[in-house]
Amino acid sequence: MIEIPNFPQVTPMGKLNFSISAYRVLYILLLLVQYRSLSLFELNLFLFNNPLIRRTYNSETITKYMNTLRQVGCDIPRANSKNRFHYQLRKNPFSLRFEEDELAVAAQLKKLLATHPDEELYERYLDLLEKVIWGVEEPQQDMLFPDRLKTERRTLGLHRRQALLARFKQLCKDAQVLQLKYYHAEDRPPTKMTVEPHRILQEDAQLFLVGTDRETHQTVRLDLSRIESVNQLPNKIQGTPKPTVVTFQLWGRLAKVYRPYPGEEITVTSSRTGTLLVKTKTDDTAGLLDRLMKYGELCEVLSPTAVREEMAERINRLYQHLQTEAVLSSPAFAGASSERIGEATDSKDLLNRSSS
Amino acid sequence: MVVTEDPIAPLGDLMAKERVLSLNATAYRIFKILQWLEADGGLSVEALNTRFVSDALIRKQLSPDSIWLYLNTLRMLGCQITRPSPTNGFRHELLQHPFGIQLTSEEIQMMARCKQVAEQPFDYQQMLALDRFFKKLLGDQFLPDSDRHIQELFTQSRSVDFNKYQALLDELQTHMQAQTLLKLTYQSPLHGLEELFFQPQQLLYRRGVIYLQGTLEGRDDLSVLRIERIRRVEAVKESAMPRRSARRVDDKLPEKKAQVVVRFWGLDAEALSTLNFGELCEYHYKRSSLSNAPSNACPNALDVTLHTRDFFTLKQKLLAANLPFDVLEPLAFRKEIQTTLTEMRRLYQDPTPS
Repeated sequence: MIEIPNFPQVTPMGKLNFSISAYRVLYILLLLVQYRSLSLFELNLFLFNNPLIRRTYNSETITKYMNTLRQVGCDIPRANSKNRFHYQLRKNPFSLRFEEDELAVAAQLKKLLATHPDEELYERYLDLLEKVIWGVEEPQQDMLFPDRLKTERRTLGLHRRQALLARFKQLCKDAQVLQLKYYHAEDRPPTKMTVEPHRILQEDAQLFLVGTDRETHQTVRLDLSRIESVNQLPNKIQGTPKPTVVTFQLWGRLAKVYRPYPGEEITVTSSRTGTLLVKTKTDDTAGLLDRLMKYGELCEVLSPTAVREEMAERINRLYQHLQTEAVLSSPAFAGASSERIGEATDSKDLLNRSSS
Repeated sequence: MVVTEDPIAPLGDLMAKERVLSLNATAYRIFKILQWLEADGGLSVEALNTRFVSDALIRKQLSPDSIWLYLNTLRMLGCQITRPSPTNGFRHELLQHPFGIQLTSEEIQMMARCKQVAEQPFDYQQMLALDRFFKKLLGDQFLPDSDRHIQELFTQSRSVDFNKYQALLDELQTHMQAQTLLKLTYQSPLHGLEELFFQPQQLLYRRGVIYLQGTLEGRDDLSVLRIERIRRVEAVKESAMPRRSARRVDDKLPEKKAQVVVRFWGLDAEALSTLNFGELCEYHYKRSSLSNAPSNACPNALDVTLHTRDFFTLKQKLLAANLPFDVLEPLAFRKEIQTTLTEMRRLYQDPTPS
């Protein structure tokens, strides 16, 4: 519903200080800008619900109003059987004008998204371009859709990743418990898991299922390519899980250059110690820890304890695999380069190494 | 169509036309006011009347009271129009109107996501053009909350609006093409303002920020500087550089990248491609020689050889990959990884946070 602004409509003398008849005509234009196509019934519904109008009008009166809008240049064809007796605003009365490079890059983005596994993103971008076309002149429309097709809806691709993505998105939408066989490591047989699916996450070339493991009650992030099989159980997911609130601390160079992610709160800044305290809510703690790991020794997870322990476990797992010097000094590593690569990146802070 | 009952009024007159074509004359005039204000930003009463007289369907002046009534009608529809005052040259100025393309929060989030997808394949000039395209959609100057929506786009995509740095980018591009040595005044977050001698190579768009990549005096590896922290650019000759470091910026660096060998455990060749080393490195891999693997190693260890000059980003990717690994060479990088993991481990030795 279009909001009616709060503006005093009656002067102290009890007179309207605006033209109600003209208001009706331009309100109809506003409705058509918002909805693009409305039947007589739908128009009257809006007109009746507008507190400043509060009545309906017959088709002759509406025709008069439409004639006025046509006279000012609005492209509104007559309501007939071909358009199901709808009044359609075929172009926005206030055109947008883009530069050539802006339209070119919009078209390039369309091509890029056409090959991206996220079909929903592509479809929504096409919806946006259709809105843009409605607001630009004909020559500029051709730059966005050069083959003169005003819509380029593609059929569901047969590409494996696209099919995988579509399938798991549907499973998340169904909100039923899943039984999976999942490869946690290449060298081990797949393990059975019972998972409540929440959403699909895309990171670069990888697709992940974010959900709750029913046995451990922990949020898990599962690589779709490692799921051997999935079985949808009849049990529905009861409610949505609460996201985990994670607090972590940053210092040093990182604290000075850190750019918060959407939804993150910087709760405490200590200019004396150069420390930043960040609080974030997430349903994907694994993804969050991936990011915090790359901050190295300039970041510490403070709470909750389970996430802090998970971080510690990750670090220990990596630490254990560090080879000893004795192994490296063996003949097999004799060819290892002792090339000096210059000063270590941490030792000289000339550079703005934003790690965020 | 209603037949006119007044044969005297000329058909060109709006009132006559109203009777013939059933027009609402007042609505016609009000819409014309909106169109003129939208095109010109602000008009005085006199300027409006000049246009009324020139318009073929109006052809007369209107009183200030009538104009006031018309502007109130536009305000009732959601337009923001200022009153004439000395500060605006006694003009009515249109600040906002609701007749543009309205976009929702979900559409803004979608645009932010599109920007993140485009970041990989697009260069910085394409990303700037994309920003301008989205900003025009959101920031049509007459749309309500346009500034807030633009800010939301940059916040959601964690990017910076670099279009205001276009002049600096053009200047740097010119210097790169001429292979000029530069003296930059740079705002370092740690050291404040400082002067750097820099040989620029390229402009990169990464994670929402534009970086100037090149070689810095005294360093062998590639360095990156954030564009928005460059305060001044000066082209210099070699003789202007102080002799304070063993290696000078303009010394020829070996063209080839440094070789890095990383051993991964629990990783197969197919999964390797998902690590996405990207433009950082070219790489190849082989099964590790098991005879000299440590006893706790998994049998299917993979030795990956990478070539890069960007050790910082490689280190980040290795730490974030959540895969057991060890750097076999070069030794300096290996030591750096060891030091980092040792320091990180120390933070968590006490179960309670520091």
